[in-house]
This record gives sequence, C-alpha cells and structure tokens, in this order.
Amino acid sequence: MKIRKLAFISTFLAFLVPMLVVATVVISYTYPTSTNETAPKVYLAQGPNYNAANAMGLFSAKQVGTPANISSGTTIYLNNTYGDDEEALLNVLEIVNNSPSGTTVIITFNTVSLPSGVTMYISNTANTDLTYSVTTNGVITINGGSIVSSGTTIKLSSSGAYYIGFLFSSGATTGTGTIAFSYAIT
Amino acid sequence: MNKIFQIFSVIAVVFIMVVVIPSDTKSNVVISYNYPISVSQAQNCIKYEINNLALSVINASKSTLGTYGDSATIYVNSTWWTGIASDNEGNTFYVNSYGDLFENYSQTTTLRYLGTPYSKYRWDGPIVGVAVSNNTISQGGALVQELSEWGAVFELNVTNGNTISQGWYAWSLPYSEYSAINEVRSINYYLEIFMYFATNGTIYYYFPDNGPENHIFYPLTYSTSPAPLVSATVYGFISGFNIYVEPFGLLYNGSVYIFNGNAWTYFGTASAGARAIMMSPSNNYEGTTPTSLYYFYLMVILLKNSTYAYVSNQLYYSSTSATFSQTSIPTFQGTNEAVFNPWGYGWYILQTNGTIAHSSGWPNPTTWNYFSLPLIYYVYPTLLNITDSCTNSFTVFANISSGGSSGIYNMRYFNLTFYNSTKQSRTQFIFSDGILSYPMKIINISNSNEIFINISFIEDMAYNATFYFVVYTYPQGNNNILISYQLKIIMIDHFAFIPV
Repeated sequence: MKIRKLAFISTFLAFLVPMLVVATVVISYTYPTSTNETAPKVYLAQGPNYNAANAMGLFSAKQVGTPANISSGTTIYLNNTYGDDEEALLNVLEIVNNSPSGTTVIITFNTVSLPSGVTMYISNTANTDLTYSVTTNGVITINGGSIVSSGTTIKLSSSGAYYIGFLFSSGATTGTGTIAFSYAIT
Repeated sequence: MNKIFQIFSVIAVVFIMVVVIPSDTKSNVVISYNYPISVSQAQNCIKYEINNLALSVINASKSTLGTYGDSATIYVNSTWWTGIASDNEGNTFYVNSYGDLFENYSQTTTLRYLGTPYSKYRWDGPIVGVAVSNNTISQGGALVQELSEWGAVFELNVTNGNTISQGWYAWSLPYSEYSAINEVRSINYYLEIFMYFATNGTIYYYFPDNGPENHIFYPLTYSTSPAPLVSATVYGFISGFNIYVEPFGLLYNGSVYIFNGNAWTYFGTASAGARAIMMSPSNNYEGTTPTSLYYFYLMVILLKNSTYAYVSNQLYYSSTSATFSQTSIPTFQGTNEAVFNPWGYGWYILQTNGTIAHSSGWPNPTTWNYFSLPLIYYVYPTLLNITDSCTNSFTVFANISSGGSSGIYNMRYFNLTFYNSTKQSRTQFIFSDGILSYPMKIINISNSNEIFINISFIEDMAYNATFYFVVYTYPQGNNNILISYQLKIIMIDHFAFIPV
C-alpha cells in the first residue's frame, strides 16, 4: 500500500510539476534517418487549357518533375491583350489532389496579390471546368468556381484536379504580384 | 485508493492530449508554395482592322479600327427617304438620303427610277430634299434638284415620262449645313426660283432659266436668324417681271419664323419635335400679286409618331403671325420626314421607311390613303476584317447589345453578317419589321483566315445602334480562352441638325 501511495504521488508530481521531475533511469536509442525528395501529393500544375493559352502568348508557367508540377518560386506569367475589352483564361492551372483516400486537404491561400483588374478563380468541384458567360456588352463572367483572395480557405473534399482561371476585366493593369498557398493534410 | 489513482490517471492522459499536444497540429503534413506573378500586355494573334477599300464604298466617315483600344468604332451612313416634290403637271418625285430619285408619273402608280448623282459624284453628305421646276417645253422638261446636307446641288433634266437628258449636273453652295430646298413656281416659267436653306438661317436662291452652265447662287442678306432651321417652305408670287418670296422657317422646337425683307422674325409655334413645314395650295393659283382675297395655310408635322399635325389659321401675304391647331393624321409605324402639298392634290406625309400617307382636302385633311415606295436593298460588303495568326483555330461569336440601340429595332430590315473567308460559316443578325432574328451561330475559322462583316439594310431611319462582338478560341474543344472586344457600329441615322 505504501508503494502504491508512492507511485501515485510520483505520477501526480510528474504530471503537474514536470520541471521538478528528475529521471532516475536514462535509456537512449539511436535511429538512422534519411531525407529524400518525394513526389508531392498535392501540387500546382498546368491545367488542361495551358497549351492553348501558352500558344497564344497569353500564359506561361513552367512545370518540372514527375508528376509534372510547378515548383514553388516559379514565376507565372499572364498577358492581357492589347485592345480587348475583357479576357478570361480558363483552366490554365490546376491544383492536383492525389492525397490518400481518407485524408482531407485544406488549402489556405495566404497571399493572392494580383494587379488591379485581375481576378483568380478556382473550380468548386474536382475535375470540373470553369465555364463562362458573356453579357451582351462584352462583360465576361466565370462560372463554376469561386474567387480566390488572400485568406481564402478551400477544403478539397475529393481527389482530382481543381482548375484555376484568371479574368482580366476592362481596364486591367499590368504589374507583379504573388500567389502563396499552403495546404494541410489530415 | 485504487479508484483515486485511476481517476488521476485519466486526468493525466486527458491533460497530455489537451494541453501538451498543441491544438494546431491535428494535421500531420503542412506544405506551402509561393509563386511570383507577372502580368504584362501582349498583342494577340487575333486583331480587327477596317477594310479601307470598303470604306470608300460605304462612305463611312471615320473609324478607330486598326488602332488598339478598348473598342473599335465604325460609322456607317444609313439611308432613308427624305424628300418629295412635284411639278406643275402632277409628276411627283421622291428622293432618299443616298440621292436615289424616283418619279411617279402624273399621279399614276407607275414609278420609274431616275438614278442617283452619287453614282457619278463623290459623297457630299445625305440628300436633305428635292425640288422640281415647272415642266416646260422651253426647258426640255422638268428640272429636278437635290440638295445635300453639306451644300452640294445636283440637277437632273427630266423629260416627261421619257428620256433623261444631259445627266446630272453638280454645283456647290458655300460650305454650310443645309436642311431644305424649295422651288417657287409661277405662271411665268422664266421667273421660277429654287431656294436653299442652311440651318443657320442663310438663304440662297437660283434661277434655273440661267441654264446649268450659268448657275449663280445669290444670297439673301439677313440680320438675325433662328437656328437650327430643320425645314422651310416658301410662299411666292410674281408681279410684272419680278418674283416675290416669303420664306417660312421651322425650328425643331416648333417655332415658326418668317423672313421679311432682311431678317427672320417670329411667326408662331406649332409643337416641339417638329420636323417639316409645308404650305397648302393657295387660292392664288395664278401666283400673281396677292390681295386680301388670296390666302394659304401652313402645316407642320412632328418627327416622331404623332396622331396630330399642326395646321395654321388662314394666312395672307401680309400676315405677321399664325396660330397652329391640331389636326388628325394617320398613325403608321415609322418616322415622319417630309410633308408636301402637290399643286392642288392635298397633303402628303413621307416617312423615312418610304411609307406615304396621302390625303385629299385642305387645310384639314380628309380621307387618307397609303402607298409605299420601292424597297432598295443596300449592302456594305467586307466592312471589317478580323485577322488571325494564331497557331490554334479560333471561333468568333457575335452578340448585339440590347442597350442604346432602340432605333435599330424600328428598321424594316437590317442585317449584320459575320462570315469567314470561305463564306461557308456565318452568323447573321436580322431585324425585320422590328423583330430581331437571333440565331446565335458561331463561326469557326482555321489558321491564317479572316472574318468579314457585312452590313445590309433597307432604307429607314436607324437611330444610333451599337454592336459588340466577342472573340474566343476553341482549344481542345473547350471554350477556355475568351477575349472580348467591343465593336461599335454607329449608324449615321439622320441629319446632324435633328437632335435625336
């Protein structure tokens, strides 16, 4: 009974006053570790319309590796067309979600800083194109997606590709910006 | 004691889970990316440009096409019926803004086409009206004159129902904006006179007896002038070897002025939105020195549809003012352009779409009859090119703005056609009797090809019309790249001096 009391008191002190605990037994283990680069499970890549937009000189974002992905730090180039009223580049990028089943991916766009008049969209559903409609006075509306801005958080509920597009409204300006995002897998 | 120990053990485990392990580490993987963005401007491989050759055909006055901007604008002259006149034998002449002249011989239903001076002479603005002299043997027939908005006078010698001699002559009045042409006829054929009215009130006159080779335009001096004059009519008579004229001018606000001696003076008011003024027949059929027994009336019609015209009280040469009263006129779709009273034949109201209402009886009209002038189909081909140097094929989709172009819906027929170089693929927008055909077709064109735009229409007043078009590609069967341009086609629909 005294031993049990002692154990109880020791456990109690170990939890509540950890700084005061003094180990009486030290056992060490050594594990060798190895750090390698592995294919990302969630990554940014060229979308299904990238080639057409690139051929027209309107969009560029190089991708590398297997699976092909756009590395962080790669500059994404967008061109607005002289003389147009509005321009939409739909499905030129995609965020691929290859995470294992049973996991959940939450993307947070920490920074979306684009020149005035340029808006970024991401599709609401995996493997579903962003679409458009045009009003009679030439105004383009992107459908099937959500506007992405700084702080936007999106839960990727299923695996597949989530397409990204850009809209240049009338009077869009040129300049530089940043798109930074992070994702967490649980 | 065991129980207490177990309770503390549970508390300890919960403590570890809740406190020791941080709450934001539910995810075991967090990865971040950062991408610099660069946005520039580029010349697209699709561009639009005006067809300069087409411009010389269509008399489009200016264009911003070929220069980069938010929109492209092209001006196209529409055509509409503008004038009506008759000679002393009842032959009636009709003219449209392109100068196309028709003759209705001796009030029959037979019309013959007499041509247009613009097939021979350069474009000098839309034709504002027509006037005709007496049909005389000495002159070899009737002299028909057309006046353009910018002062060109075109004359044709029309022999009664027969050949046209000499073809068109052309002269120029001093450069100004003109709105009306009139002819004062008398029993003395050598004292006929043509009169031309500028919108600023300036009047010029011309004696056809001088012959086409000796034409002189004489100005009438004036001190004050209302402006802008949108229409004019003239009461005239001869006395001995002199001809006397008493012009009346109409403003768009409905004010009527009389020219007495050397100044325009206020005479009366009909109604705002006035378009044309005309004098009734006078019981001074001989056109001699008027007395108190000789009287006449003035009629004013409004530009837009109205169930009323405005007829003055009985007037005399010595009258200094007039009051105008409403009189019923037919309501028919269109825009009133001219009112006319042939020599004793009642009233004619001409609309821009060529519809004519004719009434016998004056000063107040009685029974109205209707007839229509021939429909002329005008085509402006290859107005615009859209060129492609893209590596992808692309598709053009055209749409028409519904805003700011209500006038186009009033046109009897208006067609805007986009087609590719093979003419196998095209889309059309057709307005027929005010109804828009909306096929929503798209045009697929392959590399290094072009798209052309045609405009065709039947004459009528068009108002301003604005069209937009959208260009986009069809890569991989998906509409993923959209580049929308605004193409603005403005129909020059009416005279500049009419504020519509």
